[in-house]
Amino acid sequence: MNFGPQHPAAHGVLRVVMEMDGEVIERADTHIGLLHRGTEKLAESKPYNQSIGYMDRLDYVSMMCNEHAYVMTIEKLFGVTPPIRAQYIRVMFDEITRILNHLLWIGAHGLDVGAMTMFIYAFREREDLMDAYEAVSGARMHATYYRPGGVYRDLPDEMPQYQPNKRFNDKQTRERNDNRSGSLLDFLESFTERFPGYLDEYETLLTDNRIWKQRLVDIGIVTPERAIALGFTGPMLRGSGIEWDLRRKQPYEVYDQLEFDIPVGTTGDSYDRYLVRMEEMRQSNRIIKQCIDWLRVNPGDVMAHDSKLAPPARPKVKEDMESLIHHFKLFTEGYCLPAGEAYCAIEHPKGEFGTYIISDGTNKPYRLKIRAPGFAHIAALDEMTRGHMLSDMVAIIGTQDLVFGEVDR
Amino acid sequence: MNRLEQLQANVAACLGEAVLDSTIAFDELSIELSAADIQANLAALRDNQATQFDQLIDLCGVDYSEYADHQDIQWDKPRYAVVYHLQSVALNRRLRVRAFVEGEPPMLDSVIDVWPAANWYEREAFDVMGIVFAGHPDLRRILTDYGFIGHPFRKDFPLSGHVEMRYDEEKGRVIYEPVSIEPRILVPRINREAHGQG
Amino acid sequence: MSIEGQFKEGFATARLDDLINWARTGSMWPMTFGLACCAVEMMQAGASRYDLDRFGMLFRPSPRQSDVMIIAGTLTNKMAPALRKVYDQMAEPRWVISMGSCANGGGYYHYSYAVVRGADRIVPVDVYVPGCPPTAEALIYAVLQLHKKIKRTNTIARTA
Repeated sequence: MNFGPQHPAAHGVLRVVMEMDGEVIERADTHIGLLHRGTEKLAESKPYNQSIGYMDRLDYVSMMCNEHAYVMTIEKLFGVTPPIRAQYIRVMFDEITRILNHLLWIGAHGLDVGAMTMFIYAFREREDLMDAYEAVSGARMHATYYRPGGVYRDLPDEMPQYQPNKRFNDKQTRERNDNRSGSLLDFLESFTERFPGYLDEYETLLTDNRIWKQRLVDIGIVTPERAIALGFTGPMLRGSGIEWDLRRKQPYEVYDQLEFDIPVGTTGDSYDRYLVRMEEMRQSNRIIKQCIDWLRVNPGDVMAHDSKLAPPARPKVKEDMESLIHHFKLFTEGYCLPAGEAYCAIEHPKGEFGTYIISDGTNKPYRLKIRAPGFAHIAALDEMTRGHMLSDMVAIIGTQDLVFGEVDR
Repeated sequence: MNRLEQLQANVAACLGEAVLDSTIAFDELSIELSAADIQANLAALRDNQATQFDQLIDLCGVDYSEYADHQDIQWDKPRYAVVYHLQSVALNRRLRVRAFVEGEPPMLDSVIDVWPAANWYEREAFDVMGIVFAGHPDLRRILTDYGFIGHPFRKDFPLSGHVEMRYDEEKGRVIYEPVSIEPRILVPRINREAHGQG
Repeated sequence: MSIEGQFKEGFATARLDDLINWARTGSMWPMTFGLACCAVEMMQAGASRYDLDRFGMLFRPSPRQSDVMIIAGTLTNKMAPALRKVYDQMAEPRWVISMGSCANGGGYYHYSYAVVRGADRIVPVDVYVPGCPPTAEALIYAVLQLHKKIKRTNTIARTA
């Protein structure tokens, strides 16, 4: 029986050809590649900075995290560390991205399993976070905000405001603009204060819900040893009880200076993974608060000063000949990385997302390999769905948190 | 002796003479193994108590045919290589293993018995690079189109491919036609160091 | 479209045309063809801030029950036959909105070997929405443009 490639589950393009015995699935042959766009080959034909946009479009629900892995690999090869303020901004946006991802996940998962209200609630929160993306980079989704050497520009001091219109008069508009009247950090702070309350609402809606539990408990159980052998990472691994989080085990940026907990499940079923992701959202909220507090009191640069990597400031370009030459070289040819190879991975909301770059000393990568967490997860779909029923297949696809942009690249 | 050097010593102790090359660069350890006993060697890396590489993170194919084009080096190794990225969850270590493969089509043993995660990664390496994995239960195309001819990530395969697709009203289905767009290089590949321009 | 152009335009047929077009645009049911990132913006357009439901648009998973197909995302060679099949299954009257630069003309992936350079190579498109991804507002603007286009069509009356 053919499932997909076009179906209402908000997962994109997936085709599963199943052999079934009545309602029970005997074998599931997954066909991916319906969104294979040749990102890695396209990246070989473009200078490094021009491929940052491709990274956004891989896992298109958690954009800045993908950029982060790529940009970190370039920085590793080049040998530069971004300034501390840029690191805090990156961590803050990584956690905002984690919340964005988990909100879409819970919205889509709820929609698949049958709890349709979650979709509306989750996307309401996402709108606020996308406003934060837009304020800092100009684009609601694909930001290309992280650059090797730091981030593109510092956080803005003011947010776009609502204007009065036919529906909302001046007084109502002022109320709507209440949390936007300060800087981006004020906006995010008001978000972090509201968010735990929203999470409590979602939990009351789902966590003790009998139907939700019936659909998720004991579905898609993966033992810890099997999870490691299958290459699972992230919440799929933590749901099975293994305490593995790259932010703690192989800390990068400023995660070693921040306080947060890692939720770990016990049984390895879909319900545990749901609980892990809900708790991760709370912890992300905590991290964002700490970052906001630090960023308020510590101004500074957000881009490394190395003119061979990052363009110099515009006033200097207009006055200084060397800066002009660097600017010219960077924008026509791009920077050249030393020959060699590097692999850098981050704790992406879905698991371990890494980029492996082989550089031949030129301005374009020789080989870019993207290690997407969803690829390993969906490879195990056959194993996870055997013996389950068709409706459980939908729940398992949901719990694996698949996004085909990264699976197919 | 720091962590990486300790790991280097442990890997050398585990594999002995099988390690053809072992380098530490950019804070990472990369070793080169021969394609001949790759399955046994990787299984040893997984089972050895000092290394315990229980997770295969990534497996990719690389085509080195144009690697020396813009550098001042000689390339005398085979054209294709398979690069494994291993991770030890138990000991918190990473390792990169490279195995050069010879032959046309390039062939080496599958490591699916060592880590079941290798299943789809090897299918992908076969699909995009044409490297055949002996012993793989189901080696088919995974990412490219159903009737696709060619291995896209090879360096001699053009970026825009050989065929493109459109719908034909008369035939009533989508058809393939030769590519109609011109290849366009906006920024040429240059190496500033090689030409002496710092 | 079966009685198109049969009658010359007169007052009654023009009013009847308006009525038909009002009925068509008033509840246009889109079929989601969310392929890639644009699908997320389409979902955002259907969510609470930019609500598509107030336009009468209810996302239907089945092609046989929908009027408009929003192609949101990159169309690859592997997916193209499925797209054509789904389009053929839609009942007349049907329209297509091509959302995002990948569906418009290949977009960011124009030079790739595995991408169809524009959905209009496979299905006829009525409205193209630029953007990468187009904001949810842009998608709503496109829907309103499609409404205007539908209002211009003459089903019963024939312009002289």
